[in-house]
Amino acid sequence: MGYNFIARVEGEGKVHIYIKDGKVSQVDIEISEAPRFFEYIVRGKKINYIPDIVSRICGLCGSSYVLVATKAFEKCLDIDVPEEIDELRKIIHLAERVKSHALHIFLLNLPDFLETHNTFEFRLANKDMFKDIMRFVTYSSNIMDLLGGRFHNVVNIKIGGIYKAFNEGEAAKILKFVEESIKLFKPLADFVLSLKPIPNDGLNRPHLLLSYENEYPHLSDEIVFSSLTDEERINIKDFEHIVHSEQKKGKNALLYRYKGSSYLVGPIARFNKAFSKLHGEVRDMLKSYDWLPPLRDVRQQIVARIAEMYDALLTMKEFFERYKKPDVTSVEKEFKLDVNKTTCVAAIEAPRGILYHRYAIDNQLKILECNIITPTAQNLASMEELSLEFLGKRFGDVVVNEAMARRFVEMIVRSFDPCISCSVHVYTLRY
Amino acid sequence: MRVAVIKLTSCSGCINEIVKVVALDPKLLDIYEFVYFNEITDSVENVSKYDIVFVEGSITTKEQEDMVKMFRGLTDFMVAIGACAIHGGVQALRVGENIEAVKAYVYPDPKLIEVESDVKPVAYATKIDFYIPGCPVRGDAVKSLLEKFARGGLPTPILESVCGECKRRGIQCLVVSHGISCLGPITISGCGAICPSFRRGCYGCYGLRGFDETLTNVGNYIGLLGRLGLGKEIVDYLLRAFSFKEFSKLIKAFEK
Repeated sequence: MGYNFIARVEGEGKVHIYIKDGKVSQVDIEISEAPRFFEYIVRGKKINYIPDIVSRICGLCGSSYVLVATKAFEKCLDIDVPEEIDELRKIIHLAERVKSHALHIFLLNLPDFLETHNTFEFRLANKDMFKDIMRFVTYSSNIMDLLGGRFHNVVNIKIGGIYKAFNEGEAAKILKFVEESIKLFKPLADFVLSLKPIPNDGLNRPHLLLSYENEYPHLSDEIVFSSLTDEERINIKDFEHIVHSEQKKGKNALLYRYKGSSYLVGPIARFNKAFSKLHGEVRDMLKSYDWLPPLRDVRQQIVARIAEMYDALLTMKEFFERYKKPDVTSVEKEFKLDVNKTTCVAAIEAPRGILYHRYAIDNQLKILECNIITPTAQNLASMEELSLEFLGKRFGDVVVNEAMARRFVEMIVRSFDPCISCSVHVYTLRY
Repeated sequence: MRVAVIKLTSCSGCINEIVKVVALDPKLLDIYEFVYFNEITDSVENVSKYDIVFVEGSITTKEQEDMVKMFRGLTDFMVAIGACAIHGGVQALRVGENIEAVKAYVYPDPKLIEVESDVKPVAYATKIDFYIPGCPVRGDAVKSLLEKFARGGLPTPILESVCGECKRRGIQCLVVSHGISCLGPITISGCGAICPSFRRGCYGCYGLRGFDETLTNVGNYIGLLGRLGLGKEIVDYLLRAFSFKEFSKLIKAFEK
């Protein structure tokens, strides 16, 4: 049977490993997921429903898509969304971060550290823990339902605000779910954080993340590039000019590089740079297990995800403890553009890293151009290069066979939580 | 019983609903073994016979069409899940455009991209035994199917529009009481009236209620929506996005 897909990742990718004299000479990640051409199909359409259409790019992080597209349009139409509404939308986004990380850690990634081959074996070996995981996912699902209408492709966000604000009674219900989630989460977190040893083969890739001065990275107009020797701030308007993209055979996604180097986006970048912005309780929990930044191996991202989940849950708890139903849910005015054409740009820290959207729109509020750069596409070059590098470190002169190498590489790929459906979006720069 | 879950062109949203159901209901795992399910199991075994094959996504490459046909040969019960598998999905919005131009718009080197000009629902390539609509499908619907199938039965297919759900949930009609545009009357139910419960008009993501709709019905309703401020152009876009197969059928019947 020839469908050799990478297991336990979202979407379809294959790993090709080239071995010469027992040494791996090349690792090639084939992105076999079929393209869907979103950048093309949104053209000529009015902006109103575009956030809902592009949310279909990803079945896991749809809220990030809805929110970043909405933000892009709001910015270029000068729509000033009331702060409490913006805060509420941030909470929806954080709830998605919790959901996405939970599915990845507990159902896809954890078996890698426990020598079980899949979620089902893991369940049989850890029945009680699996029950807690199930209850946690149930709460996560209930929270998403109440905030956004469903587990993914939430329906509550629109240009100018939200459709419905919940009343205090509903907020109390969500708070209860959040508190129960936190109770269940702590022992699960203890289990993950005490896993030893999580491989540590070094990390020499620069990080890219949204700015973290005011809060743990969420939404921003500024991207931070950070390497061992260098830190640089980039306005998101310049993002497409400075990252270099490249199309390769067998990949329906582009590879991105910055200053000639592959780089990392996502939990590890956020955790390593913005550790100080996490809640005190989160930092204490990590310190008690000796997990401190910088994490030095992509396979340690599971630790960063645990930190982010706990932090997001605490932020949600605080939000619902002081929740008051806002008077207005959205800006009700006719959206107008005074110039013939403008560019709308926004970026968000989706669960897997920086998600960038750019739209050019005309004064009829119709899309002229669209470009979407996804986190997984940005991590793709690192996935390949680090796989090869780590294989060398791990096996040295040992003769490897394909099965050994494959298992090793899949674990590295999986640690990125690649969202392959998302990654299949590229666009040729035209200026 | 042995289950396979395969993915074609799609976002994995429906597959994640299956993951959720499987994670939440261990009783199902005592009955069903998800032997071919790339998203959660390591693909170690060779393909063989399955009691159920779930298909997510539409067909946009030759390889996918072959794969669906091969899996069809391995099961007596194939289930199409979600708008992509049933209607084509949002990616069908490019159908009718020149595929070379579409490729060239998105990729620097369009020659390297292998994709067909058509976007096909799975039923165009093979027989489908059961459909679960939605974008994404509801986990509950998948669960209901698995529970009933285990007892030798099947859920009753849904034949009503979203309106039925609003009535049952006691949600005031958005169109009649609030003058809000809503595709609910022409959209198949199953979602639980999510959007109306958020005081938002349905945007048709579960697909057109195709079995007894005529272009006259739909056309008249689109006319009404126009008067409520939802233009024909955007309605057309939404119907094509989430109900490509049904909508094209109606248009074709009209052209005849």
